[in-house]
Formats: sequence, structure tokens, C-alpha cells
Amino acid sequence: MENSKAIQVISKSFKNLAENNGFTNILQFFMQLLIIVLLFFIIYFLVHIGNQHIDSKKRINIGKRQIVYFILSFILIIAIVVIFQSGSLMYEILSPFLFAIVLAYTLNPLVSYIEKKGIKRFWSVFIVYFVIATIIFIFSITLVPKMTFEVKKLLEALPKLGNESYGYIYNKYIKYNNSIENLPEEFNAVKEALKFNGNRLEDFILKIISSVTNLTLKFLSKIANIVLTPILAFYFLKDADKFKNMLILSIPRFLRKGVIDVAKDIDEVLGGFIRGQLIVAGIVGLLTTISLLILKVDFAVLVGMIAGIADIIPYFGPIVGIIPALVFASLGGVNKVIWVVVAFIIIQQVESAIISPKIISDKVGIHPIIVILSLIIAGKFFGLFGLLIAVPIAGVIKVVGKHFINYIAKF
Amino acid sequence: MIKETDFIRLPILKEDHEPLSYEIKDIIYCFKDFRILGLYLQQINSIKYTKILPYTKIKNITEEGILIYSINDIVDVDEIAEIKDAINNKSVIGYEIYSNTGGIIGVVKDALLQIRSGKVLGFIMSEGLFDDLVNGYSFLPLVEGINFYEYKIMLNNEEQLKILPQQGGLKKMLGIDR
Repeated sequence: MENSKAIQVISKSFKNLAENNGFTNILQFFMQLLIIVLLFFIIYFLVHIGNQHIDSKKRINIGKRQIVYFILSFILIIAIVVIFQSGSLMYEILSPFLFAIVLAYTLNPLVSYIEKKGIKRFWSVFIVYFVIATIIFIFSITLVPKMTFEVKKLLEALPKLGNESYGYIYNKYIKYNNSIENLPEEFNAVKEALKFNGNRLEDFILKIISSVTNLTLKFLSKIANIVLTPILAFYFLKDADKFKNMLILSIPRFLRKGVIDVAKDIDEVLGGFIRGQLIVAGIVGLLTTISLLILKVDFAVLVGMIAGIADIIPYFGPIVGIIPALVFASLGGVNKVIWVVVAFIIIQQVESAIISPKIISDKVGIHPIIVILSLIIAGKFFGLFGLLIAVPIAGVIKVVGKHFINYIAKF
Repeated sequence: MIKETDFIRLPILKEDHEPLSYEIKDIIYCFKDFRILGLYLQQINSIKYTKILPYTKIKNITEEGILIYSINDIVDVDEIAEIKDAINNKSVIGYEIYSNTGGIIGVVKDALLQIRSGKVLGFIMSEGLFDDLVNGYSFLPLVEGINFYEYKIMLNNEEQLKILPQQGGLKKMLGIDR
């Protein structure tokens, strides 16, 4: 009796283990490993057989050295795969460091500029931080109360806006369904397909609410990262040379020169783009806010900020930026809408004709078609974040590709 | 020959091999002619009381420790002017080695010293994590012309060629160094 119970427990444990994904993954991993080892043996024996039938000078030698290099490369690939497989966990751990690196990279030219004036690096970093803190402080005592007021007003206005939109959609829905009902019998199949499904709308709204809740929770959980990022960036900036040397020395010597050359080119493209684009976005945000304030559109500061951030995305950014402005302008009548459109067109023209060429000066140098393609691909895979990083990543790929082609062409 | 790091924590012994309550804390270099002036001592179980042992007063250096002739050879920092001036000279370990074009070549990991005279013979250097792992550390002999700046060593193209690979690391460990 005791034995049968024990067997039951063991068999249950095995069942659980087998049903568990982790177990399947481990099994799959070992199977793949076994296949690779078998493949290697097959290649080794094929080479061995082939060597017996060709001239000794033309033989492929697989010695101790080649085997060691193969195993080392294999371990490296496995390590990379494992890191990528645990991507989200790695991202959570490393994200404050990544953001700190990006922040330090953006502020580094400013710190270096102050350092060149004869001020020690520590104090240069301190000055930059102090200036940024002052700007944030001024921003928080002047603009934040206004923005808070605007957000409060927006939250108060939302139910009204919601009711109005609901009434509008409901009227359209009645009209739409009536029109479908009036279609001839031959279109029955089309009727079914076109019939508006109320449940689907409910699901859609619920999905939006749940994703907004999740987003808020995620945001709160990342407060610690937000605090940690500037602290880490401070150290990265202070010891920038040390970190740079450490990075350079971690590259194998035979690759070092090539990697440094590529990195220099990437720095030129990326650095110019990021810093330039941030300045341009700031100017566009400011101009939008001022114009909306003049036009007395509600939530001007909020919309200005959205327009500024959206401006980082080429081509699609201005469209994203104008939508909230039009929504709030529509509350003030058609005239206001027209003036907002005019203001946006003027700002966009000024941005694309004067500000961007002056500041960014075609640093990335990518054809507009490639820019649009990269935006579509990155947007599809990584959403809004993808749209923001699409152009600089395309620039990096272009630089790496150029060096790779040059390297291959030398042979 | 002895490495700088081999000195650290070595005990001080009397002529009859009886240990004294001192151990070596640091090395005091003379950067003018690249030799050791003295050893900075720390009293065991104390972090405050420190003394100096001039290098010329060393009788012998063994694995057991450093033999001295007399306890009186251990002096205070202020007693020898040359040592007093050099007391704040930093160890060469951690010096970065650059090419004349400004690119980093490596970092000094240790100094190789002649036991009898205390002269610096050269530096054991790391040329980067990957190369250390695969090839082991390299050796930079102290030859004329090497320029020393504040925590930096500058090498021209000719001097860079004098760096000797150590044939160590994984290559040696796995027997693929030849």
C-alpha cells in the first residue's frame, strides 16, 4: 500500500515535470546540443576522408587549436543565446544601466566642453547636473502646476467627451446598421460581415483600460530605476575615460582598431542625431506650446509636450502630435481647428526647412524611403519605442554595413 | 627577480629569522632612476603606526619574509629626506600605457624588480581582458625612451615593438601556444 502511494507520488511528480515547459526546454536544448555535436563529428570525418584523396598541401587540418577555437566560439554563442532567451529579465536588471549610458552619452559633450575650460571633470559633471536640476526645478514650479491643472481639467472633461463620443458613435451605429439592413438579399453574406458587433467594442475598451492599468503599475515599479539612472550616469560621466579604456581593452587586440573605427563613425552619426533631435524636439515642443497658448487651446502645455516628443519620429511624428491638438481645438469651434492646422504647418515647415538642417545637418544621411521602411519595421516589432529608435538604428546599420563591405572588398 | 605584488604582506624577520611585528604595506619608488627606495611597513594588527625600511638595509629576501640586520634599520618616515620626498609616489600598478597617437595599449599589472639592487626591470602588462585570457599577460621591458607622465606611460612605435608576449593564458593551458 505504502509502495503504491510512493509510486503514485513519483509518477505524479514526473508528470508535472514533463508537463512543465522548463523540462521540455531543457530536453530540447540537450537534443539540439547533441545534433550539433553529431554534425561536428560528421564534418570532421568528411574532412578526414576528403583529405585522403587530395594533395597534402591542399588538406584541411583540424587540429587541437581549431577544436579549442570551435568549442570557445560555441560556448560564446550558447552564452549569447541564453542571454537573449532571458531577455526580459536581463532587460529589467540592466535597464537602469542602459538608460544611464544613454544619458551619460548625451551629456558627455557638454561635460567635456566645460572640462576643456579648465574645470575638473567632477565639477564639470556637477555643473551640468546642477543646471539640469535648476531647469527641472523652474519647470516644476512654473509649468507643472499648470500641467496638473490641465490634466485635472482633462480628467473632468473626459466623461463629458466620452458621453458625447458615445452619442455620436451610437447615432452612427444606428444609421450604419439601418443602411446594412436595407441592402438587397444578394448581399446577406456581406451584411453579416459588416454588422457592428457591440461586444467587440466592449472588449476593445476593456483591453484599453487593462493595458492603461498595467502601464501605470509598470511605471510605478520603475520609479527606483528612474532614481538610479541619473546616479549611475553621474559615475559614467565622471569616469568616462576609465570606462572608455575598459571597453577598448575588452576588445580582442586583432579586432580593436577595426571596432574603434566603426565606433567612431557610429558616434558621429548617433551622437549628432540624438543630441540634434533632442534640441529640435525641444524647440518644436516650445513653439507648439506657445502657439496653442496664443490660440487659447486647452491643455496647451500637455499637447506641446506630446508634439515635441512625437517630433522625434520623422514623417509620422507631426501627425501624432497634431491629433490631440485638433481634438482639443475642436472644442473651441472650426475656426480654432483651422488656426491650429495652420500653426502646425508653419512650425513643421520651420522645423524641416530651418531648424533640423541647421542642427542635425543630415548626420544620419539615409534616404527617406529607407527611413520610412525602418520606421514601419521598428514600429511593427517594438511599437512606439521602435519608432523612436528606428532612424538611429538604421544609421548604425548603415555605418556597420559600410565598414563590413569595405572589409570584404579588400580581399 | 621579484614582482612588486610579491612584496606586499611579506613579514619582516630578524637575522635569526625571528619575525617582527611588521609586514610590508607598500613600496616607495624613486621615479628618477626607477628603483625601490624603501618599503612602507605596517605594524601587524594596527592600521595607524607605520614605519619605513630603506631598501639598502635589506639583508635577504626569501619566501619566508624579508631579513634585516637589526631592528634599528626600521626608521620613521621623516628620518630619510629622499624617502620623505617620495612617500607619496604612487605605485606603477594601474598606470595606463598609451601609444603616441593616444590610443590605449594596456594597463600595468605588476612591476618586475631586481632583488639585489631594487631596480625596476620592466612591467607586466595587461593588453585587455580577451588577450589576457587567451595569450596571458605581456611584458614591457624598462628601456630608455619610455616616457612617464602622471599615471601614464607613453610608447612610440619602436617601443611598442619591444613588448614581449608571454605565451600564457588559455593557449598555454590548452597546449595550443605553438
